Amino acid sequence: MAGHWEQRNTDWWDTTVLNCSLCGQMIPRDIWVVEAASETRLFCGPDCERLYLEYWLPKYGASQRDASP
Amino acid sequence: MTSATDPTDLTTLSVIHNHLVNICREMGTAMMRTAYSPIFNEGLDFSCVLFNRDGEMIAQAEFCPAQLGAILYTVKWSIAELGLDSFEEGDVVIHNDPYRGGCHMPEHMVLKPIFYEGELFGFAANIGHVAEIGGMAPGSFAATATDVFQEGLRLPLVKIMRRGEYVHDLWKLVLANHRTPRNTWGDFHAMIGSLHIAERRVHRLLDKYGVAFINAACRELMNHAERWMREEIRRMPDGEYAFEDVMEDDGATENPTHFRVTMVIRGDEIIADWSRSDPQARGIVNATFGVTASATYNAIFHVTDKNIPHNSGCYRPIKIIAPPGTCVNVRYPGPSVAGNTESHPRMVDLILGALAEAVPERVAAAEGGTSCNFLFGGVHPDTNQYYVNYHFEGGGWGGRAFADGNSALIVPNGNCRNTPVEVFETRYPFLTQWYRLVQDSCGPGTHRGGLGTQRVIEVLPPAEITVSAVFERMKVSPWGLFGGGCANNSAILIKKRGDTTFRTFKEVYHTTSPAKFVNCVVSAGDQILLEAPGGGGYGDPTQRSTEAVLRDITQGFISADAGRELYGVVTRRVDGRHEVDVDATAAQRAKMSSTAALPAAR
Repeated sequence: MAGHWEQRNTDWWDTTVLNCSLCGQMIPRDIWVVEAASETRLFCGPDCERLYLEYWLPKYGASQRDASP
Repeated sequence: MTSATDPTDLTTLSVIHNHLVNICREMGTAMMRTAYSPIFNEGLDFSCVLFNRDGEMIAQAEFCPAQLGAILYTVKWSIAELGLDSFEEGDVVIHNDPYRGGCHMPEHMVLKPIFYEGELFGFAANIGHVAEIGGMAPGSFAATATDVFQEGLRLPLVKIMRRGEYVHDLWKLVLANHRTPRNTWGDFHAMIGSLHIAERRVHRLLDKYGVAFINAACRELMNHAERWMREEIRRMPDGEYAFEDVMEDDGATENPTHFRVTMVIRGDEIIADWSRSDPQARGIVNATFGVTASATYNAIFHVTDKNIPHNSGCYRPIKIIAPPGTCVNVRYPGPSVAGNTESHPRMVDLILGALAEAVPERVAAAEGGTSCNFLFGGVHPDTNQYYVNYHFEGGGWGGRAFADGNSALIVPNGNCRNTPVEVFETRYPFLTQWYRLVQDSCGPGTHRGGLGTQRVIEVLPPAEITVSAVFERMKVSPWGLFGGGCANNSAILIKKRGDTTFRTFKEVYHTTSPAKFVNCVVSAGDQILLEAPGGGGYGDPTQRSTEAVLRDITQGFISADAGRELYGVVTRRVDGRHEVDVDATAAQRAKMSSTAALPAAR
């Protein structure tokens, strides 16, 4: 997998929610960041990067409507 | 300490698994017995679980499937968001945030860390549907809401108890914003009390086995559940199976919302891909991620071995794709109160419909597909106290390959109980005129659907009651499978005092939707009819045995007309009893077999 872990740092008053680019789960703290070509995708973990590459891209293609936040 | 030495021994694992599940069951019993609201002590609208310190679910009891999938995420995310270091002995954390894994605003999660000999062992948690949390309508089912703020008081992830002490400021804030604070007080204490019981029981388990032994056993239990689930999935034929259905309106508009799923079976994994579903609706039918996850797991548990231990392990082979901003993953500040009660059963049916091609012997036709949510509140004439109640009705479930659908059962996301007439009348100023199964409401089939129910209640003088409702399946019928027919639809109607007929609330109160509305004031003498749909049929109804059709006619489940027109069984009355006319039946079935189109039940 091409990604790496980063930690989401939010202020105590920030109530916004970050979602995984593929599955849509909330990402509470640790983000799996994948930088490819000119895009950065934020996943909840390596499993979603794998699913993105093995299922989503072949099925829908990069140009289709996707789950990016 | 026990003499057991191997935590992976199957007998030991079974003992520990049952011990953990029984702790969860005891949590639920405590909630049922100590809560103030009928939705807890009659409806059982809650779920109880245990987690390890890594945020993995090690046990759950068989309560409300709507919450059991979501709690997997709410607990894990709460632990991750707060950080393990933030938990102290005696703390209780609460939230009802639909964007943080919650099912909808009324459902509150409480979470308590369990420390043992000064070290954090794990967590006890439950989710319960709190019957009144403020917002635009008594009962907090804001059927016409267009944002989350109209749906009630949203609590972010906060401590409601700190080191065993009340966090007074938070309690005051909550109690001031709920219409029935006394009930909230009682129900919150029931929820928190169940956590205390879990803590005591887990301590006893750890006294007996020790922490290392239990942790090792839990790891093996989760791996065991994962292996079992993977084996179940591996037995299904690989492929992509798609299905779609619709929510009829969203309360705020008359627009339908389409839910679409593609179930992808690949070896020992399943992907539930919801990404072709419609964009987020303006009204309340949106599902949260927690709802979509719960519905997905719920449906898959229906078609896999019921004996698989339901811990984090069995969820691992199931992947869910639910893009934010669509009706399957509502984004802030979108409303979602009906997502849990109405969209969840539709999503379960969708998955079963999709998998019908893959595992026809394990699926069911569509069930009633609506909780028939009926909310009401007012000042009770006997007590002068404000009251609110959240009521739901059971309908029919779909026919299956091996049996008829069940009748008068709460939707499959609920696993809840029908409220007895006596409880209803004792607590609230309603008189029940009748509560009965609806003849011919079931979809016909080799195995017919279950029957829906009908209840008529009359407002007693001098009461004036504010009512709201969230219904579905008023236009689109619960569908049949493999030649089975559709069931009837739902209804909520009113007969004003002096009127001779029932009419829709849209006709009488000019609501946008006949199915989803808020704050209609009814008065003494008015009658309200609540009708839950039946379930769809499974298989060609002309293949149903004549004995089964005769039994249905004799018991009044179907009419003699339906027996003849839908099943091809002709009966006649002899000495007051129904008998099958063998020759006429043979002729009728021969005639029907040449007709491709199957009439609906109604």
